[in-house]
Formats: sequence, structure tokens, C-alpha cells
Amino acid sequence: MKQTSPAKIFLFSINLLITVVLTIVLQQPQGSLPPPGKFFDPFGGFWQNAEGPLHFKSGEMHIQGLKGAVYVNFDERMVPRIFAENTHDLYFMQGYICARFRLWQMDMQSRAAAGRLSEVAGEKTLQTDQLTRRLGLPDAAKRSAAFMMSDPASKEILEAYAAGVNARINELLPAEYPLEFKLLNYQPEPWSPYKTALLLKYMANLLTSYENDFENTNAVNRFGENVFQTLFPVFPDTLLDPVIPIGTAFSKPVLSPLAPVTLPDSIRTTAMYAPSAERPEPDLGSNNWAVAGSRTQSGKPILSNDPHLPLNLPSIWFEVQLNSPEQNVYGVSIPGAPCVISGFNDSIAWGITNAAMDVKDWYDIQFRDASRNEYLSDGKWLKTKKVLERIVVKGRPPVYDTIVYTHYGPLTYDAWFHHGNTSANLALRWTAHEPGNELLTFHQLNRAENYKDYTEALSHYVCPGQNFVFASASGDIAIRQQGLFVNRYPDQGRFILDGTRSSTAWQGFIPDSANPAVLNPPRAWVSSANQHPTDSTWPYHYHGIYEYYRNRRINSLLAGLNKARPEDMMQIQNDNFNLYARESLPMLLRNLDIQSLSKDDRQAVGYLLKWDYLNAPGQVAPVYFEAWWKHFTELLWDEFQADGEVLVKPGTFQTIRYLQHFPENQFTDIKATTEKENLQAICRMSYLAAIQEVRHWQSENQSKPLAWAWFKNTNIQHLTRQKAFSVGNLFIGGNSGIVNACSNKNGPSWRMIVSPGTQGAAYGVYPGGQSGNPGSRYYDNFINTWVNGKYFKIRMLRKDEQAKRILYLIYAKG
Amino acid sequence: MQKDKRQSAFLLRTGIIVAAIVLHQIFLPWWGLVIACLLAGYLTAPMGRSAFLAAFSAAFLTWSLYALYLDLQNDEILSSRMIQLFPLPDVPLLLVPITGLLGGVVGGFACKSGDLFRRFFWKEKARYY
Repeated sequence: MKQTSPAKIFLFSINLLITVVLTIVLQQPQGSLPPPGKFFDPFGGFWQNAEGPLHFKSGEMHIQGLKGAVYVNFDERMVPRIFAENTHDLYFMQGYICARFRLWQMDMQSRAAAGRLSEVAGEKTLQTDQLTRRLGLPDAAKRSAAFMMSDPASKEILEAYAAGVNARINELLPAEYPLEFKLLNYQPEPWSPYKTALLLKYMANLLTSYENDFENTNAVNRFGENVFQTLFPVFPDTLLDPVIPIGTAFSKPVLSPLAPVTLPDSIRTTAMYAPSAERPEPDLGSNNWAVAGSRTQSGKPILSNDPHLPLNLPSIWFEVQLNSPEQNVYGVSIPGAPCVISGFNDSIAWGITNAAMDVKDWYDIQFRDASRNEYLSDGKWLKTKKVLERIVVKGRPPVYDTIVYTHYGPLTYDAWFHHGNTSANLALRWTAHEPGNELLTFHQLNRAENYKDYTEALSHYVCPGQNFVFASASGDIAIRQQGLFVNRYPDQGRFILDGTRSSTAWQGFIPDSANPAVLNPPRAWVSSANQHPTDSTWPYHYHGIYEYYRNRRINSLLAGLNKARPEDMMQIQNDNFNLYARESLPMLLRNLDIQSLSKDDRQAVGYLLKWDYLNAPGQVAPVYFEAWWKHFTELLWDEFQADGEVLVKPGTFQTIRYLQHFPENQFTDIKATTEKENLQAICRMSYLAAIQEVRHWQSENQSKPLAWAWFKNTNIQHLTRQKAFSVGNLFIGGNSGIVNACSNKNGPSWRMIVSPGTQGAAYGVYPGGQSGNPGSRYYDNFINTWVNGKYFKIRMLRKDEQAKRILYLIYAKG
Repeated sequence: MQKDKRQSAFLLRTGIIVAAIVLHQIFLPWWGLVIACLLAGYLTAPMGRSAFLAAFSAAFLTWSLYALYLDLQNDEILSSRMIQLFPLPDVPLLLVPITGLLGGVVGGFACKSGDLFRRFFWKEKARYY
């Protein structure tokens, strides 16, 4: 050692230093990217997620926790057919298999509902997490989980499912973690019934945010009661076409709520509410219908369902067959929740669309002082409850937020959150806070055999309200709007409510037996498409944000059916007819002075005059129409764009109705100009603006022909919004408001057509694939079929086929 | 002759390091590669002064060839998505040499460190005879 020269020591030190520094750098996250050493290492990093032919292996396996033996037979599309000897093992295996394909998605979506995104995503999701907690979502999930666990049947299912998910998590080596865990550099954590409850609340939040209380309050302040009621009528004056056919008799109400003696007008005039809350997209919706055997070729009913949701990868749905001695059901499930949500068994089929009834109200709270310990109610001071929320944020210290609870619910908006320009404290009253056992509904539907079982199953269902369509092999068809709905006085909860008076509080719920329902109506079909559930003869008051086009189009198509086959239903689900264009374009064209346009500008009119009103993917006319209509409504309703104030424009249907009644009105004038514009002027201006927009699009997309699909640009986004894992540029027609409700980001998330009890007559497709792994060939392999309006034929596997391997076969024992 | 001998020593050394890396990475996270190269550098020091190059080659080959295998058996499904995450030309196969390079560089320096450490204990023959 003595002979070691300084040069040698120096050389060694330099090398060691570089090694250490490199190792540390490669072990650290680099910007938004994970630690490069860990991530690129082919033994443990992303390369391990490159699924090859050896990824799935058939064979026998031991999974601790199973009571008996289970077969899982994967078909050509990787749909698992689970055959269990008992209920526990059935749901255990559903959890296990689902986690095998969708573990990261389950973690991420339950995290979103728990307000825990920032733990893994950092500061950029902090506001989202804060809002989630202030909406009381995790709190509601906690109570909902406890409620479901108090029922022995749902307790068994929830626990078995969670145990199955955990069995999968426990056998995972870090190298086998789903890709997104590696990308975001975190680990899976144990599953629990609470997380399933969180997922159900995630769906409730997505599907019940159809209220415009802030916007309505602002609008009524700005334009006055009369104009408001004309532009936003609770019921349209015509063309209603509700879920329950007009003329159906309803029984008398059990109780009628009392309206306050004096309506709280003050609330409507004092404040300008402007919370910049994120809203779900208005073009979510769904279609379902069932046609009786008297109108079908086979003589058996045919049921169709296509729920429209945000188009995401991994897909919101996971297809599965669940077989045990007690049941045999096929359909789509939500990753993270047991049971089939939309599907069929040997005796019945059912499907869902969103109810869109307003079940979410806001109360203006007055506190005694800045401590917010007490608030006013009928002249008395009530005590609040405070909960300190700790939000863990990746890369910075935790954030603390105090949530104040009133007897209405949590205070969502206040001086500390989305304050806007008002001093208001707004508490939320929401049916999603009411405990419900939605899981039991689906569990019982999965094994239902007839109409009676179906009604019994629905009785447990609280939120989010849905139209459950039903058809049975024995020939019954039915539809029912099910959920917990508020028994309102007229207009209660359309605006922000005065929280200081108990007379504005919810006085009760509509009894379950009064929920709008119909069994075997004379017209021999039932349908729903997010329209009004009833006409105004239903003896309860309600309001919501409703659809006026898909329902009428579907009903007109169904009315023309005779000897219907499943192929006819496919055609309806993929129908691109633009009913709102047919009802608005003639008016636009009539008011456009074509002669005054230059020859170049006139070209679009040529397309529009020849148009058959189909939003087909290759058509040019819908490009011009949709752009024109967009610019037209922007100019017409420019009064609804105001700084620091949220407002919502009247819907397409009300816009068309309003212009039919009042072609000359105060709104055609554009506020920003000194001239006085009329309908003709804004038609012309918006037409020219639309042409400009289309020309601009063409110059930016020179490689593409001008066609509706390319202009609309439907894409399916990965949950992280990473373009790398998303699929875009889909050549598909439709739009929101069209039966094929495919807009830019939302669309039919599952298309199903089934004739219960008829062997072989079941079809389904969803825009995704069974695997959640972007490195799998099963990640997006259904998309092309879905885009082309085609379906996969579904064959229910029989018990005696459980061990006949199709693609892969797992035989598992405890 | 001398050159051939040196070449085969280099190849043998590279082979030994590959084995060490694979062995370590079965049980350890990615930094098992660093430990493997440090140790292999120490143990194979007598095989010549080519520590960096041998370990670079060994780690580069191990990581890139394994990545290449995983990529090909996957028909480049994953790599064609992953490449879009980086500001690189849209050639999925580029990720293979990048992977190799990351392992190679850190492995090379680790091996050289082990090699140089071993040399502290050596007596320089020439001075004592």
C-alpha cells in the first residue's frame, strides 16, 4: 500500500466518484420521467411490460384464499370465463383476474375518488384532490362501504373480491408491476371494500353532476325570471317524448312537499356566484331499449345498450363471464367492483342509461363569525363539524385543508377554495352522500330470472340514478328510472338555496314505488336516451339536463321495426342521422343571404343544400354545419359569456324552439359591436366565421381530406393523458346528440345487443381491449371493430366447456 | 500471438462480467448491475487494463440484447409507444441502444473502479527486482 502513488489514488477516486454520481442520477426521477436506471433496466423496468407469446401460460396454480377449484377459460379476445364452485370463489377470482389486467387503472380511479392523486402525480392535481374531498366523496365512500358491509351478501362479495385483488398484488414482483406504476414511480397498495366503494362514488360523481345551480342563479339575476324560464323551461312546450310513454297512468303522490311561504328571492339577487369548478362534459349520455317479441323475427325480445362515457384507455369496462352453481352471467364490469354492470344471463338481459335528474343542491351558509363554528338556521345558531384533511403531495410538503360540515353536507366552496368574486359559503346536499347498496342491485340482477327479481334487485339502488332497461326470455320488457330522488317543491334546487331557512331544505325523497316505470307497454318497445323520464303528469316535481334528439330518433326508428333482427339494432346504435341539424339548418339557410356571398364562400352552401343530414365520417357537409352552428350559438348567446361569472348557454333544443317563436329578439344583437345585429346578420357572420375555421383547419391538416371524422377528431385518451398511450384519428361519424354519440372525447363506451334466452344472439364491443397494458396486443384490439360499427358475437360458455381450453386456461385451487 | 491472447482475455473478461450482471440482476434491482461490475472489476483485474471497455461491452450487450429480445417477441408494440415519450425520432428500435448505453456507461465506470482498487494492493514487480 505504501507504494500507492497519488496518481493512482486520484484515478481511482475519479472513477468511483463518476460511478456513484451516475448511479445516484440514474436512481433519481428526471423531470416528469421516472429514474432512468430503474426504468430502462430490461430486467425490471418498462421492457418487462413488453408482453410476448409466453406472457400468458395455461396451467394449474395455487392461490391462497380459494375455497374450492376454479377454472378460468380465456377466449380468443382474452375475455375470462370464470367457473367457480361457490359465490366466494367466483368474486375472489373476478378480483384476481381483473387485477391481473387492470391493476393500475383500479388504483388510479379509486385514488381519484379518494382525493389522493397528488400523492403520485404531484402539485398539478392538488386542486382536483381538494375538490374531491370538499365534495365529500371519500367520506361518502366510507359510509357507503360500512352500509354495504352491514349486509351479509354484499359483505361476502366485497371481501372475496378484495381478497382476490390482494392475492394478485401479493404475488407481483416489482418487475411485473403495470407499466404506469413504473412510469409514475410508485407501488400498488392493498385493496379493500372501501376502495370498491370509492369506485362506485367515482361513477356517481361522473354521472350526477348534471346541475347548473350557479349558472342558473347568475342567469336569472342577469336576464330576469321570465326570460330565464323561456330559455330554460323545465318541460319543453312540445316534442317531449319521455322515457315513460305519454299517457301512462301514475298513482297519486304519497306526500307533497311544501314550498316556502316566501321564496328566497334575496339569494337570487345578492351574489354573483363564480366558482371555476371543473364540470363533467355535457355530452355524456347513453341509449338503451328493448323491443318485444311481437316485433322481432325470433319472437323473443331484443335488448340494446350503449352507455356513453369519456373514451379512455384502459377502457372503463372489463368484459367477463361469471359462472357458479347460483348464476351464469355475461357482460361488462367496472375494474375495481365485483359483478356485471350491463349484461345478460340465461333468463334476462338488462342495460343502463343515466337518469340526469338533478340530485345535487347548493346551500348558501351564513356563519356567526370567522371561526365558522356556528351557522344560522331559522334564527338559531347550529354547530359545524370540522375535519382536517391532509393531502400528501409528491415533491413538496403535505397540504392541510379544513372541511366544514353542516347538516346539509360539506362546505365545498368558500373563501379558501374556488372563491370567485363572492363571499358566499356553499354547502353541498347530494344523494351521493346517502348510503346505498348499489352492489347488491347488480349482484341480484346478475342472477335474476324474471321481472319480479329485477324489481327486487333495483330496490337497493340509490345513486347515480339510472334507467334500467329489462328484457326476459319469457317475453317481458320493462324500463324503470331507479335511484333516490328528491321530493321537491317546484323549482327547488334549480338555483342556489338559502341555507339559513329550514323551509328550503329537502323534505323527503320520492318513494321507491313511485319511480317512473313501465312494463310491456302497448307500443311493444321501451327506450331511454337521457331524456325526461316522464311528462308533467307525473305527480312529482323534478328538473335536470335532458336530451331531446337521440330519444326521438331512436323511437322513430323503433316504431318502424317489424320482424326485427339484431342486425337492425346494430344499425340503430350506429345511426348517424343528425336530427338537430334537420331542425336548425333550414332556418340558418333561410336567413342567409346567399347572393351576397362571394363564389368561393358560397361553396359550403352547396354542400349543405345537398346534405342528407348524416354525420357520416367521410362527409363534408357536417363539417360546415357543426362549425356554423357552433359559431352561430356563440354569436347568438354572446350575452352568456361574462368575465368572472359562470353562465351556461341555452341548449340546442331550446335555441331552436326560441328562434321559432321569437326570430326577432334581444339576443341576436352582438354586445361588442355598436351596430344592431338581427338574425340575418348573425347567420351571415357565423357562416363566414365557420368557413374561416374550416379553411384554417385545412391549412393545418393538409395531409387529410376535408371529412367529418378528421375534423371532429375522435380520440381515446389514456388516463394519464399521455399521447403515447392514447389512440387518435379514428374514422368514425356521429356526434353528441346523435344516436352514435361519438364526439371528440366521449362516445359509446360499450355496445351490446342481446336476445335473452336465444342461444347465439348476443353481440358486444367496446373501444379498447381487455388488457390495461400499453405493451399488450390486447390493449386496443377492439377499437377497429368498434370504429367500423361491427360487433363481436358473444357465446356464453357452458359449464361442461369449462376445461376445454380456448386461448388460455387456468385451473386454480386454494 | 500476443494480440490474440489479449483478445481472448478481453472476451473472457467480458463473458465473466455478463455472467456477474445476470446473476446480480436476478436478485437485486437495477443497481445490481453496478455492484456486479464493481466486483467483477476487482476480481478480473489481473486480466489486463481493459476494465472499462470490457464492462461497457458486457453491460451494453446484456441490457441491449435482453431489451432487443423483449422488443422483438412483443412485435415492437410497447417500444413504438414508449418512443413517443421522448424527444427522439419515431424509431422504436432506438430505445434498444439507449438502454444498452445507460447500462454500459455506469457498468464501465463501476468496473474500472473495482479494477483500480485491486491495483492498490499490487507490488510493481519491476521496482523490486
